[in-house]
Amino acid sequence: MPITKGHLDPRSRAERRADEEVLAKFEAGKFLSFPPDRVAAAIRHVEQAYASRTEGVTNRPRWAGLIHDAVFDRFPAPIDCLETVDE
Amino acid sequence: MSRANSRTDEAARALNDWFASVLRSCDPIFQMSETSAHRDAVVHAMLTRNAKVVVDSELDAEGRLYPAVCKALAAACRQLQVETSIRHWKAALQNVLATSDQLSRGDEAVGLALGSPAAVFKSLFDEALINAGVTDRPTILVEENRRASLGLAINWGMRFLLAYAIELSAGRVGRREAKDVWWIRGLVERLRE
Repeated sequence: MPITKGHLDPRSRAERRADEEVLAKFEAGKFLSFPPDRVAAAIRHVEQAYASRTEGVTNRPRWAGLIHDAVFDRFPAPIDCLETVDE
Repeated sequence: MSRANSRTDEAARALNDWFASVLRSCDPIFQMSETSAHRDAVVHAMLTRNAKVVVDSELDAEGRLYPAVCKALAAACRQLQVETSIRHWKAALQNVLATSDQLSRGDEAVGLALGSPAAVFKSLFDEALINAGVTDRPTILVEENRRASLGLAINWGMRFLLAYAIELSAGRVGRREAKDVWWIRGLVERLRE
């Protein structure tokens, strides 16, 4: 709810205290601060996920042409692929 | 030889002659370059371009797929250096007529929407073209399998063309002198009478 001029502060005492704590942390440069090891772990996680996605894309051409399907062995020459009738 | 068999032979001969004329029509494009490497590149481009059109298009009843199917078939034959014969076309005719007959007696009770003969042959043609690696969709097959798949694409493409022709809108006709998809339709229709 917006605080408008001429009205009482609608916040409860607990809400006011919480706002003051956040403001104090913000002014002290401590708001949303995380230990350096957690920040480093988050960066590492994002970088690894990006690297694995990139590797998947760059390796895709190398996956192509890997499968030998025995179904096609029954057609030793291209002309054998064309069904014909017995005379 | 029975009369029906004789008529099928005549139709197969006419189709083989027609396809030879399709190849002759495409050859000036296939052979327009001086070097064999460039001629091969033209054939491959004609194949991939039209294979993509076929695979990306829905079935229609107006014959719009006819040019792309013919060019893809012609380029595939030139790329693999195969030539169709009367016996190949006769097998295709018999195959399409038998499939049309069987699918028209389809059992609705099992709830399988198999589609029309043209739809069935198009799905086989599409899949063979994709497996052959001549569309923009990935294939995982090794090179020799891709060549076999392209050969099978010719086989299914011939059948698709015949089934597609007989499923065109009955109301429309082509130019009387043209040997186009409407001519194929008339040829196959006469065998069903």
